[in-house]
Amino acid sequence: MSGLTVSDLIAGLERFSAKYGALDVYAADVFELQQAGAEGRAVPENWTQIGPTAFSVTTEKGKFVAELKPEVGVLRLRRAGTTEPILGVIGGALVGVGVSAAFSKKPEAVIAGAILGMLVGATLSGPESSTAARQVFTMKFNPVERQWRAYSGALIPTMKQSLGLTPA
Amino acid sequence: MGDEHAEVYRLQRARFDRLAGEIARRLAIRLRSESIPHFVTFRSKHPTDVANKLTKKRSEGKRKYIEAGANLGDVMLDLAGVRIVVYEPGLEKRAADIVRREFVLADGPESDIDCEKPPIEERTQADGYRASHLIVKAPDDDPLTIGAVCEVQVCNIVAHVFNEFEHDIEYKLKKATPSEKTKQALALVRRRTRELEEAVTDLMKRHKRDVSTQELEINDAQELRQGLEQVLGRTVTGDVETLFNMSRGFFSPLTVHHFNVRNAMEIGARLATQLGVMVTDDALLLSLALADTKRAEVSDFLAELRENHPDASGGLVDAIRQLVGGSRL
Repeated sequence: MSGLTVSDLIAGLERFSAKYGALDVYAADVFELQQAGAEGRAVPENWTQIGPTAFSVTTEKGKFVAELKPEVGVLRLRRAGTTEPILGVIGGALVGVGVSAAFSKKPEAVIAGAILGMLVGATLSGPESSTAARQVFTMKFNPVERQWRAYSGALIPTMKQSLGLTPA
Repeated sequence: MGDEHAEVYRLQRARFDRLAGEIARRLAIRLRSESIPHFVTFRSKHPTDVANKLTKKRSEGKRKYIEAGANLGDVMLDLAGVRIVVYEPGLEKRAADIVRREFVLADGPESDIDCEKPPIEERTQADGYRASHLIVKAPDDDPLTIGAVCEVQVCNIVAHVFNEFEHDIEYKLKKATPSEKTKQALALVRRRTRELEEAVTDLMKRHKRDVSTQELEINDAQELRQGLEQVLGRTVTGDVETLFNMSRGFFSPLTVHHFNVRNAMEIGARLATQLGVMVTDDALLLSLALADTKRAEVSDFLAELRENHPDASGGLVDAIRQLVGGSRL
Protein backbone atom coordinates (compact mmCIF):
# COMPACT_ATOMS: atom_id res chain seq x y z
CA MET A 1 0.00 0.00 0.00
CA SER A 2 1.60 3.25 -1.06
CA GLY A 3 -0.90 5.74 0.33
CA LEU A 4 -1.18 7.19 3.80
CA THR A 5 -3.71 5.49 6.04
CA VAL A 6 -5.43 7.20 8.94
CA SER A 7 -3.02 5.35 11.23
CA ASP A 8 -0.08 6.84 9.35
CA LEU A 9 -1.62 10.30 9.59
CA ILE A 10 -2.13 9.94 13.32
CA ALA A 11 1.44 8.69 13.76
CA GLY A 12 2.65 11.78 11.92
CA LEU A 13 0.44 14.14 13.92
CA GLU A 14 1.65 12.67 17.20
CA ARG A 15 5.31 12.44 16.23
CA PHE A 16 6.18 15.11 18.77
CA SER A 17 3.31 14.45 21.16
CA ALA A 18 0.79 17.26 21.11
CA LYS A 19 3.26 19.97 20.13
CA TYR A 20 1.74 20.51 16.72
CA GLY A 21 -1.99 20.93 16.31
CA ALA A 22 -2.43 19.64 12.79
CA LEU A 23 -0.83 17.62 10.01
CA ASP A 24 -1.28 18.74 6.41
CA VAL A 25 -0.80 16.24 3.60
CA TYR A 26 -1.79 16.10 -0.05
CA ALA A 27 -5.25 14.56 -0.37
CA ALA A 28 -4.08 12.52 -3.35
CA ASP A 29 -1.75 10.61 -1.01
CA VAL A 30 -4.44 9.48 1.44
CA PHE A 31 -5.39 5.82 1.05
CA GLU A 32 -8.94 6.11 2.35
CA LEU A 33 -9.69 8.91 -0.10
CA GLN A 34 -8.11 6.95 -2.96
CA GLN A 35 -10.24 3.95 -2.03
CA ALA A 36 -13.44 5.98 -1.79
CA GLY A 37 -12.77 7.52 -5.16
CA ALA A 38 -12.07 4.11 -6.75
CA GLU A 39 -15.27 2.64 -5.25
CA GLY A 40 -17.40 5.61 -6.19
CA ARG A 41 -18.18 6.51 -2.59
CA ALA A 42 -18.51 10.13 -1.55
CA VAL A 43 -17.39 9.50 2.02
CA PRO A 44 -14.52 7.18 2.93
CA GLU A 45 -15.39 4.07 4.90
CA ASN A 46 -15.55 4.64 8.69
CA TRP A 47 -15.45 8.42 8.24
CA THR A 48 -18.44 10.47 9.30
CA GLN A 49 -19.25 13.65 7.47
CA ILE A 50 -19.65 16.60 9.82
CA GLY A 51 -19.43 19.48 7.41
CA PRO A 52 -19.25 20.28 3.70
CA THR A 53 -15.69 18.97 3.49
CA ALA A 54 -15.03 17.91 7.05
CA PHE A 55 -15.12 14.42 8.48
CA SER A 56 -14.94 12.85 11.89
CA VAL A 57 -12.66 9.84 12.18
CA THR A 58 -12.72 7.65 15.29
CA THR A 59 -9.90 5.22 16.00
CA GLU A 60 -8.54 3.44 19.06
CA LYS A 61 -6.30 6.48 19.50
CA GLY A 62 -9.26 8.78 19.81
CA LYS A 63 -11.39 11.07 17.74
CA PHE A 64 -9.94 13.19 14.95
CA VAL A 65 -11.20 15.67 12.39
CA ALA A 66 -10.11 15.43 8.76
CA GLU A 67 -10.71 18.62 6.81
CA LEU A 68 -10.47 18.52 3.07
CA LYS A 69 -9.41 21.72 1.28
CA PRO A 70 -10.23 20.96 -2.36
CA GLU A 71 -8.97 24.31 -3.60
CA VAL A 72 -5.41 23.41 -2.64
CA GLY A 73 -5.70 19.62 -2.63
CA VAL A 74 -4.85 19.33 1.05
CA LEU A 75 -6.17 17.14 3.82
CA ARG A 76 -5.62 18.47 7.35
CA LEU A 77 -5.86 16.08 10.29
CA ARG A 78 -6.27 17.37 13.83
CA ARG A 79 -7.56 16.07 17.15
CA ALA A 80 -11.24 16.66 17.65
CA GLY A 81 -12.23 19.22 20.23
CA THR A 82 -14.85 18.48 22.80
CA THR A 83 -17.46 20.56 20.98
CA GLU A 84 -17.14 19.77 17.34
CA PRO A 85 -19.87 21.56 15.36
CA ILE A 86 -21.77 19.48 12.90
CA LEU A 87 -22.68 21.68 10.00
CA GLY A 88 -25.20 19.37 8.47
CA VAL A 89 -25.00 16.69 5.86
CA ILE A 90 -24.93 17.79 2.26
CA GLY A 91 -25.34 15.85 -0.88
CA GLY A 92 -22.71 13.22 -1.52
CA ALA A 93 -22.10 14.51 -5.06
CA LEU A 94 -20.76 17.81 -3.78
CA VAL A 95 -18.31 16.07 -1.48
CA GLY A 96 -17.26 13.82 -4.34
CA VAL A 97 -16.55 16.85 -6.47
CA GLY A 98 -14.42 18.25 -3.66
CA VAL A 99 -12.41 15.05 -3.35
CA SER A 100 -11.72 14.71 -7.06
CA ALA A 101 -10.81 18.39 -7.28
CA ALA A 102 -8.38 17.86 -4.40
CA PHE A 103 -6.72 14.95 -6.18
CA SER A 104 -5.79 17.14 -9.12
CA LYS A 105 -4.05 19.73 -6.97
CA LYS A 106 -0.92 17.88 -5.85
CA PRO A 107 1.92 19.86 -7.44
CA GLU A 108 3.74 18.19 -10.28
CA ALA A 109 7.06 18.81 -8.58
CA VAL A 110 5.92 16.67 -5.67
CA ILE A 111 4.10 13.97 -7.60
CA ALA A 112 7.10 11.82 -8.43
CA GLY A 113 6.69 9.32 -5.63
CA ALA A 114 7.26 11.64 -2.70
CA ILE A 115 4.77 11.55 0.14
CA LEU A 116 5.25 14.75 2.09
CA GLY A 117 3.55 16.31 5.05
CA MET A 118 3.82 19.34 7.22
CA LEU A 119 3.06 19.56 10.92
CA VAL A 120 1.45 22.89 11.66
CA GLY A 121 1.90 24.54 15.03
CA ALA A 122 1.10 27.74 16.78
CA THR A 123 1.36 31.13 15.15
CA LEU A 124 4.54 32.98 16.01
CA SER A 125 3.12 36.45 16.19
CA GLY A 126 0.13 38.48 15.16
CA PRO A 127 -3.46 37.40 14.74
CA GLU A 128 -4.44 33.91 13.72
CA SER A 129 -4.82 33.62 9.99
CA SER A 130 -4.02 31.10 7.29
CA THR A 131 -0.85 32.97 6.34
CA ALA A 132 0.38 34.05 9.78
CA ALA A 133 3.92 32.91 10.54
CA ARG A 134 3.85 29.53 12.22
CA GLN A 135 6.02 26.86 13.67
CA VAL A 136 6.01 23.93 11.29
CA PHE A 137 7.91 20.71 10.73
CA THR A 138 8.34 19.33 7.25
CA MET A 139 8.37 15.55 6.89
CA LYS A 140 8.60 12.81 4.33
CA PHE A 141 6.85 9.46 4.65
CA ASN A 142 8.63 6.21 3.86
CA PRO A 143 5.91 3.85 2.57
CA VAL A 144 8.13 0.77 2.97
CA GLU A 145 9.12 1.41 6.60
CA ARG A 146 5.82 3.24 7.19
CA GLN A 147 7.60 5.94 9.11
CA TRP A 148 7.80 9.71 9.02
CA ARG A 149 11.17 11.42 8.94
CA ALA A 150 12.33 15.02 8.81
CA TYR A 151 12.55 16.49 5.34
CA SER A 152 14.84 19.41 4.48
CA GLY A 153 14.99 19.11 0.71
CA ALA A 154 14.28 21.33 -2.23
CA LEU A 155 10.52 20.73 -2.24
CA ILE A 156 9.94 22.73 0.94
CA PRO A 157 9.06 26.00 -0.84
CA THR A 158 6.56 24.13 -3.04
CA MET A 159 5.08 22.44 0.04
CA LYS A 160 4.70 25.71 1.92
CA GLN A 161 3.06 27.39 -1.07
CA SER A 162 0.76 24.55 -2.04
CA LEU A 163 -0.22 23.72 1.51
CA GLY A 164 -1.48 27.28 1.70
CA LEU A 165 0.88 28.50 4.42
CA THR A 166 2.64 31.15 2.31
CA PRO A 167 1.24 33.32 -0.46
CA ALA A 168 2.05 32.11 -3.97
CA MET B 1 65.88 25.76 -23.58
CA GLY B 2 62.34 26.81 -22.90
CA ASP B 3 61.14 23.97 -25.11
CA GLU B 4 63.08 21.33 -23.19
CA HIS B 5 61.60 22.44 -19.91
CA ALA B 6 58.18 22.70 -21.44
CA GLU B 7 58.54 19.08 -22.56
CA VAL B 8 59.51 18.00 -19.04
CA TYR B 9 56.54 19.96 -17.70
CA ARG B 10 54.26 18.28 -20.19
CA LEU B 11 55.11 14.98 -18.50
CA GLN B 12 54.47 16.46 -15.06
CA ARG B 13 51.37 18.39 -15.99
CA ALA B 14 48.90 15.82 -14.70
CA ARG B 15 50.19 16.45 -11.18
CA PHE B 16 49.33 20.15 -11.36
CA ASP B 17 46.02 19.40 -12.99
CA ARG B 18 45.13 17.09 -10.09
CA LEU B 19 46.21 19.68 -7.52
CA ALA B 20 44.24 22.53 -9.10
CA GLY B 21 41.13 20.35 -9.35
CA GLU B 22 41.31 19.24 -5.72
CA ILE B 23 41.87 22.75 -4.40
CA ALA B 24 38.99 24.05 -6.51
CA ARG B 25 36.73 21.27 -5.23
CA ARG B 26 37.49 21.95 -1.57
CA LEU B 27 37.07 25.69 -1.95
CA ALA B 28 33.75 25.30 -3.77
CA ILE B 29 32.39 23.20 -0.88
CA ARG B 30 33.51 25.74 1.70
CA LEU B 31 32.26 28.76 -0.26
CA ARG B 32 28.88 27.12 -0.71
CA SER B 33 28.52 26.26 2.96
CA GLU B 34 29.20 29.90 3.84
CA SER B 35 26.61 30.86 1.20
CA ILE B 36 28.92 33.01 -0.89
CA PRO B 37 27.60 32.90 -4.48
CA HIS B 38 30.54 32.21 -6.74
CA PHE B 39 32.01 30.12 -9.48
CA VAL B 40 35.39 28.45 -9.43
CA THR B 41 37.59 27.60 -12.38
CA PHE B 42 40.88 25.77 -12.41
CA ARG B 43 43.61 24.84 -14.84
CA SER B 44 47.14 23.63 -15.16
CA LYS B 45 49.30 26.03 -17.14
CA HIS B 46 49.55 25.19 -20.80
CA PRO B 47 53.03 23.90 -21.83
CA THR B 48 53.25 26.54 -24.55
CA ASP B 49 52.63 29.29 -22.01
CA VAL B 50 55.29 27.72 -19.77
CA ALA B 51 57.82 27.72 -22.60
CA ASN B 52 56.98 31.31 -23.55
CA LYS B 53 57.31 32.55 -20.01
CA LEU B 54 60.64 30.80 -19.51
CA THR B 55 61.99 32.25 -22.75
CA LYS B 56 60.80 35.75 -21.86
CA LYS B 57 62.15 35.71 -18.31
CA ARG B 58 65.48 34.33 -19.41
CA SER B 59 65.81 36.99 -22.07
CA GLU B 60 65.22 39.54 -19.31
CA GLY B 61 68.13 38.01 -17.38
CA LYS B 62 66.03 36.69 -14.52
CA ARG B 63 68.47 34.41 -12.75
CA LYS B 64 66.13 31.92 -11.16
CA TYR B 65 64.58 31.15 -14.53
CA ILE B 66 68.00 30.77 -16.13
CA GLU B 67 69.02 28.36 -13.40
CA ALA B 68 65.67 26.58 -13.26
CA GLY B 69 66.04 22.83 -13.01
CA ALA B 70 63.67 20.10 -14.05
CA ASN B 71 61.23 20.88 -11.24
CA LEU B 72 59.67 24.01 -12.66
CA GLY B 73 57.24 24.21 -9.76
CA ASP B 74 60.04 25.60 -7.62
CA VAL B 75 60.27 28.62 -9.90
CA MET B 76 56.85 29.10 -11.43
CA LEU B 77 54.19 29.20 -8.76
CA ASP B 78 51.18 29.25 -11.08
CA LEU B 79 51.58 25.92 -12.83
CA ALA B 80 48.42 24.97 -10.92
CA GLY B 81 45.88 27.77 -10.90
CA VAL B 82 42.46 28.28 -9.37
CA ARG B 83 40.25 31.31 -9.82
CA ILE B 84 37.40 32.19 -7.48
CA VAL B 85 34.92 34.70 -8.88
CA VAL B 86 32.35 35.96 -6.38
CA TYR B 87 29.15 37.54 -7.64
CA GLU B 88 28.80 40.15 -4.95
CA PRO B 89 31.43 42.90 -4.82
CA GLY B 90 32.82 43.10 -1.32
CA LEU B 91 32.87 39.36 -0.72
CA GLU B 92 36.34 38.90 -2.19
CA LYS B 93 37.95 39.35 1.20
CA ARG B 94 35.64 36.72 2.72
CA ALA B 95 36.59 34.33 -0.06
CA ALA B 96 40.30 35.05 0.37
CA ASP B 97 39.96 34.45 4.13
CA ILE B 98 38.40 31.08 3.37
CA VAL B 99 41.40 30.20 1.20
CA ARG B 100 43.74 31.13 4.06
CA ARG B 101 41.76 29.00 6.53
CA GLU B 102 41.50 25.97 4.28
CA PHE B 103 45.10 25.77 3.11
CA VAL B 104 48.63 26.51 4.26
CA LEU B 105 50.10 29.47 2.44
CA ALA B 106 53.47 29.15 0.77
CA ASP B 107 56.44 30.96 2.28
CA GLY B 108 56.20 34.73 2.67
CA PRO B 109 57.68 37.58 0.63
CA GLU B 110 61.04 37.06 2.23
CA SER B 111 61.35 33.74 0.47
CA ASP B 112 63.59 33.64 -2.59
CA ILE B 113 61.28 31.27 -4.40
CA ASP B 114 59.41 34.04 -6.12
CA CYS B 115 60.08 37.66 -5.37
CA GLU B 116 57.92 38.89 -8.20
CA LYS B 117 54.66 37.64 -6.75
CA PRO B 118 54.52 37.47 -2.97
CA PRO B 119 52.24 34.76 -1.54
CA ILE B 120 49.65 37.19 -0.29
CA GLU B 121 49.08 40.18 -2.43
CA GLU B 122 46.17 42.42 -3.18
CA ARG B 123 46.67 44.15 -6.44
CA THR B 124 44.96 47.37 -7.24
CA GLN B 125 47.20 48.48 -9.99
CA ALA B 126 47.01 51.79 -11.78
CA ASP B 127 45.98 49.92 -14.92
CA GLY B 128 42.86 48.72 -13.13
CA TYR B 129 43.60 45.02 -12.67
CA ARG B 130 42.08 43.90 -9.36
CA ALA B 131 42.35 40.52 -7.73
CA SER B 132 43.87 38.82 -4.71
CA HIS B 133 46.60 36.30 -5.39
CA LEU B 134 47.48 33.64 -2.86
CA ILE B 135 49.97 30.84 -3.25
CA VAL B 136 48.91 27.79 -1.28
CA LYS B 137 50.69 24.55 -0.55
CA ALA B 138 49.24 21.26 -1.70
CA PRO B 139 47.42 19.41 1.11
CA ASP B 140 49.60 16.72 2.63
CA ASP B 141 46.99 14.00 2.27
CA ASP B 142 47.77 13.31 -1.40
CA PRO B 143 51.20 11.82 -2.15
CA LEU B 144 50.83 12.64 -5.83
CA THR B 145 50.70 16.41 -5.31
CA ILE B 146 52.53 16.95 -2.04
CA GLY B 147 55.26 19.56 -2.31
CA ALA B 148 53.59 21.46 -5.13
CA VAL B 149 51.95 24.87 -4.84
CA CYS B 150 48.92 26.42 -6.46
CA GLU B 151 48.04 30.03 -7.19
CA VAL B 152 44.53 31.02 -6.13
CA GLN B 153 43.13 34.24 -7.56
CA VAL B 154 40.07 35.88 -6.04
CA CYS B 155 38.03 38.67 -7.61
CA ASN B 156 34.42 39.70 -8.11
CA ILE B 157 32.57 39.07 -11.34
CA VAL B 158 32.63 42.68 -12.48
CA ALA B 159 36.38 42.95 -11.93
CA HIS B 160 36.76 39.57 -13.65
CA VAL B 161 35.25 40.96 -16.84
CA PHE B 162 37.66 43.86 -16.88
CA ASN B 163 40.65 41.74 -15.86
CA GLU B 164 40.10 39.40 -18.78
CA PHE B 165 39.97 42.22 -21.33
CA GLU B 166 42.94 44.00 -19.77
CA HIS B 167 44.97 40.80 -19.71
CA ASP B 168 44.32 40.02 -23.36
CA ILE B 169 44.86 43.53 -24.63
CA GLU B 170 47.80 44.76 -22.59
CA TYR B 171 49.55 41.64 -21.31
CA LYS B 172 49.28 39.07 -24.04
CA LEU B 173 49.65 41.48 -26.94
CA LYS B 174 53.16 40.60 -27.95
CA LYS B 175 54.01 42.51 -31.07
CA ALA B 176 51.40 45.25 -31.25
CA THR B 177 50.92 48.29 -29.06
CA PRO B 178 47.35 49.22 -28.28
CA SER B 179 46.24 52.33 -30.11
CA GLU B 180 45.12 55.40 -28.21
CA LYS B 181 41.54 54.67 -29.16
CA THR B 182 41.87 51.15 -27.74
CA LYS B 183 43.39 52.51 -24.55
CA GLN B 184 40.58 55.02 -24.22
CA ALA B 185 38.00 52.29 -24.77
CA LEU B 186 39.69 50.14 -22.14
CA ALA B 187 39.68 53.07 -19.71
CA LEU B 188 35.95 53.50 -20.37
CA VAL B 189 35.35 49.82 -19.61
CA ARG B 190 37.37 50.24 -16.40
CA ARG B 191 35.20 53.19 -15.32
CA ARG B 192 31.96 51.43 -16.20
CA THR B 193 32.95 48.31 -14.30
CA ARG B 194 33.74 50.37 -11.22
CA GLU B 195 30.35 52.07 -11.52
CA LEU B 196 28.66 48.70 -11.90
CA GLU B 197 30.46 47.42 -8.81
CA GLU B 198 29.23 50.37 -6.79
CA ALA B 199 25.68 49.95 -8.10
CA VAL B 200 25.61 46.23 -7.27
CA THR B 201 27.05 46.91 -3.81
CA ASP B 202 24.34 49.48 -3.19
CA LEU B 203 21.67 47.10 -4.46
CA MET B 204 22.82 44.31 -2.14
CA LYS B 205 22.87 46.66 0.85
CA ARG B 206 19.28 47.71 0.17
CA HIS B 207 18.17 44.12 -0.31
CA LYS B 208 19.80 43.08 2.98
CA ARG B 209 17.99 45.89 4.71
CA ASP B 210 14.68 44.77 3.17
CA VAL B 211 15.18 41.16 4.22
CA SER B 212 15.92 42.08 7.81
CA THR B 213 13.45 44.90 8.36
CA GLN B 214 10.42 43.90 6.30
CA GLU B 215 10.19 40.31 7.45
CA LEU B 216 10.66 39.13 3.90
CA GLU B 217 10.65 35.37 3.50
CA ILE B 218 14.13 33.93 3.31
CA ASN B 219 14.37 31.69 0.28
CA ASP B 220 17.95 30.50 0.36
CA ALA B 221 21.12 30.45 2.41
CA GLN B 222 22.47 33.56 0.76
CA GLU B 223 19.42 35.60 1.82
CA LEU B 224 19.75 34.20 5.31
CA ARG B 225 23.37 35.26 5.48
CA GLN B 226 22.52 38.73 4.18
CA GLY B 227 19.69 39.15 6.67
CA LEU B 228 21.84 38.01 9.59
CA GLU B 229 24.64 40.35 8.53
CA GLN B 230 22.24 43.23 8.37
CA VAL B 231 21.04 42.55 11.92
CA LEU B 232 24.51 42.00 13.35
CA GLY B 233 26.15 44.76 11.32
CA ARG B 234 29.10 42.58 10.38
CA THR B 235 29.99 39.52 8.30
CA VAL B 236 28.55 36.23 9.44
CA THR B 237 30.80 33.17 9.65
CA GLY B 238 30.20 29.45 9.45
CA ASP B 239 27.99 26.94 7.68
CA VAL B 240 25.00 29.15 6.96
CA GLU B 241 23.72 26.65 4.42
CA THR B 242 23.18 23.95 7.06
CA LEU B 243 21.58 26.50 9.37
CA PHE B 244 19.21 27.42 6.53
CA ASN B 245 18.44 23.78 5.64
CA MET B 246 17.56 23.11 9.27
CA SER B 247 15.54 26.20 10.00
CA ARG B 248 13.44 26.39 6.84
CA GLY B 249 11.70 23.18 7.89
CA PHE B 250 10.77 24.73 11.25
CA PHE B 251 9.10 28.00 10.31
CA SER B 252 6.67 29.14 7.67
CA PRO B 253 7.45 31.62 6.34
CA LEU B 254 11.06 31.75 7.45
CA THR B 255 12.25 35.29 8.21
CA VAL B 256 15.31 36.61 9.94
CA HIS B 257 13.16 37.68 12.88
CA HIS B 258 12.52 34.08 13.85
CA PHE B 259 16.15 33.70 14.83
CA ASN B 260 16.00 36.45 17.47
CA VAL B 261 19.61 36.87 16.48
CA ARG B 262 21.23 38.80 19.29
CA ASN B 263 19.55 36.78 21.99
CA ALA B 264 20.33 33.56 20.16
CA MET B 265 24.03 34.40 19.88
CA GLU B 266 24.25 34.72 23.67
CA ILE B 267 22.33 31.53 24.25
CA GLY B 268 24.42 29.72 21.66
CA ALA B 269 27.65 30.88 23.28
CA ARG B 270 26.45 29.67 26.68
CA LEU B 271 25.48 26.28 25.25
CA ALA B 272 28.80 25.97 23.42
CA THR B 273 30.65 26.54 26.69
CA GLN B 274 28.51 24.00 28.50
CA LEU B 275 29.16 21.46 25.77
CA GLY B 276 32.87 22.14 25.67
CA VAL B 277 32.84 23.28 22.04
CA MET B 278 36.16 25.04 21.54
CA VAL B 279 35.83 26.36 18.01
CA THR B 280 32.69 28.33 17.31
CA ASP B 281 31.32 30.48 14.54
CA ASP B 282 28.09 32.42 14.04
CA ALA B 283 26.18 29.65 12.25
CA LEU B 284 27.14 27.16 14.97
CA LEU B 285 25.97 29.44 17.78
CA LEU B 286 22.67 30.20 16.06
CA SER B 287 22.16 26.51 15.30
CA LEU B 288 22.72 25.58 18.94
CA ALA B 289 20.23 28.18 20.13
CA LEU B 290 17.63 26.99 17.62
CA ALA B 291 18.25 23.32 18.39
CA ASP B 292 17.81 24.00 22.10
CA THR B 293 14.19 24.99 21.48
CA LYS B 294 13.45 22.03 19.22
CA ARG B 295 15.51 19.15 20.47
CA ALA B 296 13.20 16.37 19.33
CA GLU B 297 12.78 17.83 15.87
CA VAL B 298 16.50 18.49 15.46
CA SER B 299 17.31 14.94 16.47
CA ASP B 300 15.09 13.83 13.60
CA PHE B 301 16.70 16.36 11.30
CA LEU B 302 20.23 15.12 12.03
CA ALA B 303 19.43 11.65 10.72
CA GLU B 304 18.14 13.14 7.49
CA LEU B 305 21.09 15.53 7.26
CA ARG B 306 23.66 12.74 7.18
CA GLU B 307 21.88 11.22 4.22
CA ASN B 308 21.01 14.26 2.13
CA HIS B 309 23.61 16.91 2.97
CA PRO B 310 26.98 15.14 3.24
CA ASP B 311 28.89 18.44 2.91
CA ALA B 312 27.40 19.86 6.11
CA SER B 313 30.07 21.20 8.43
CA GLY B 314 31.30 18.52 10.82
CA GLY B 315 31.83 20.95 13.70
CA LEU B 316 28.31 22.34 13.56
CA VAL B 317 26.67 18.95 13.20
CA ASP B 318 28.74 17.43 16.01
CA ALA B 319 27.86 20.28 18.36
CA ILE B 320 24.15 19.95 17.66
CA ARG B 321 24.35 16.20 18.04
CA GLN B 322 25.98 16.61 21.42
CA LEU B 323 23.29 19.05 22.47
CA VAL B 324 20.32 16.89 21.56
CA GLY B 325 22.13 13.76 22.68
CA GLY B 326 22.75 15.36 26.07
CA SER B 327 26.46 14.74 26.50
CA ARG B 328 29.57 16.88 26.59
CA LEU B 329 32.20 16.81 23.83
